[in-house]
Amino acid sequence: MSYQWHFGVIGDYWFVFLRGGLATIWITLGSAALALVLGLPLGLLRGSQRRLLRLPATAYIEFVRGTPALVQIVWIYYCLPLLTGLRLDPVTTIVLAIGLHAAAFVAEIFRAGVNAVDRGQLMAAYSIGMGHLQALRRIILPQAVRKMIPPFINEFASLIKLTTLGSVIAVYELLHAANGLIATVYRPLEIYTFLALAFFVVIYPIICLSQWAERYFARRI
Amino acid sequence: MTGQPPSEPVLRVEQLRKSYGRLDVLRGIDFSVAAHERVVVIGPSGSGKSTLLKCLNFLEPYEGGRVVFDGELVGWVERGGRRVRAPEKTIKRMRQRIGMVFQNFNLFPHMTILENVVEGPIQVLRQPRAEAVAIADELLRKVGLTDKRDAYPSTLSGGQQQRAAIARALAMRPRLMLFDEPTSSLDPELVGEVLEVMKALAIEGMTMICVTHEMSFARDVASRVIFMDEGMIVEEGPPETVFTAPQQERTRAFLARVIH
Repeated sequence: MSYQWHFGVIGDYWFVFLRGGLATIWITLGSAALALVLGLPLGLLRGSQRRLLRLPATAYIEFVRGTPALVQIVWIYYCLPLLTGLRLDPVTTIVLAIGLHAAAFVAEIFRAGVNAVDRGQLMAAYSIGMGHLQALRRIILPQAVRKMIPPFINEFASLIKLTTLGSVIAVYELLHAANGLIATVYRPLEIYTFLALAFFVVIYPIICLSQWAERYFARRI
Repeated sequence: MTGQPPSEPVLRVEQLRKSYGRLDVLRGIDFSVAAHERVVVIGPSGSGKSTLLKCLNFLEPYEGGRVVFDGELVGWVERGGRRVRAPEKTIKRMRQRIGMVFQNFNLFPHMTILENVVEGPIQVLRQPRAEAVAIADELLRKVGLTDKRDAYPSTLSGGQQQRAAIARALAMRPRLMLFDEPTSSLDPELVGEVLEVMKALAIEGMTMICVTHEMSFARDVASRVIFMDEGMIVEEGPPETVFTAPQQERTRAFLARVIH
């Protein structure tokens, strides 16, 4: 193979990557916020003693976890408008779709964190006269959150990767920006390689942070 | 708090029944505890001792019979001839006056020892922080943990953790203390320091019910020993009688197994 690499093309079109990168960041932050806001109550409902609260939450979580994110995205983009007449622009669609998707995983992390706290803690809290909500707030959640932080960071890393799915519905995120640029300058090797490295440089430290957090909290509790 | 006439016991248990599905764990328990009494409950594993203790402060709801603490029915209210769970406020108020010490300590691992002890007084009793800390420091001195007040539970030995757990329960100024096998998960050399703290409490006149396998503690401290087997009280009496002249064959067999 005697391919002539021209990575200079990245520097020449830096603004393309900047624009795509900013879109990727916004989609990541928007869907992460949505996932947290929906995921926490969903996780509480999922762990509820009452069937009426637990079953819908369980159904939602299992359905989302049992279907591919890409299918969820195209369904929301193409089918939802046909069914409801509600037409969402691509960026709103991708934030909504990834947010709804990640919410199911956040809910499971949340529930697992609460379950991981020893049952004796609840007993001890009750025995000094605390009510259920007070025991959750003062005793269970502070311990559960420490167990949840590492998987939450991991989930955030997968969420960044999920944003590239936006390219199929023409969201101008990094992958779509790269595709557009390739169509113009025809340098797929350089551009895709750079793209992969750029994602790695961002995501790998996040994964390391998650592992560090896991060790840190394991020592403290 | 001590508005009851002297004849009224601190705790009265009548025909207490509890089952898990088809398994009857408690099959009609009757006993009462007067102020300053030290009742030690002994018996083989699975005899229902721990469940009994947890029914007394309604950590486990019981189905039949009555538990009356300080003249008030524990956990239930009668409404139209039916029993419904008492309002959370009532149950919380009852639990504030019953201290409980667990086999596995159950200290709050995200809090220092001092924070563990002041948590109830500040969050539940709404004591001012300075007052709660002063009381906690006094209690920690009493259980010999002054130098550990700012340490986290995970850095303490089992014996130290259990002494801290006793201080946490005492900080609520309970009228009755429940000990659920407080030394069973301790290394043998750490059992003594916990029993010393409990003995000191007994001497001060604390009303207590203790489930334990420490027969020497039962003999030295108990004002009354209850022997349980298969969810029932088999024998009950002062320690000198139960240990030296047990009336029931089952008591004799159990004591022969545990006392060497």
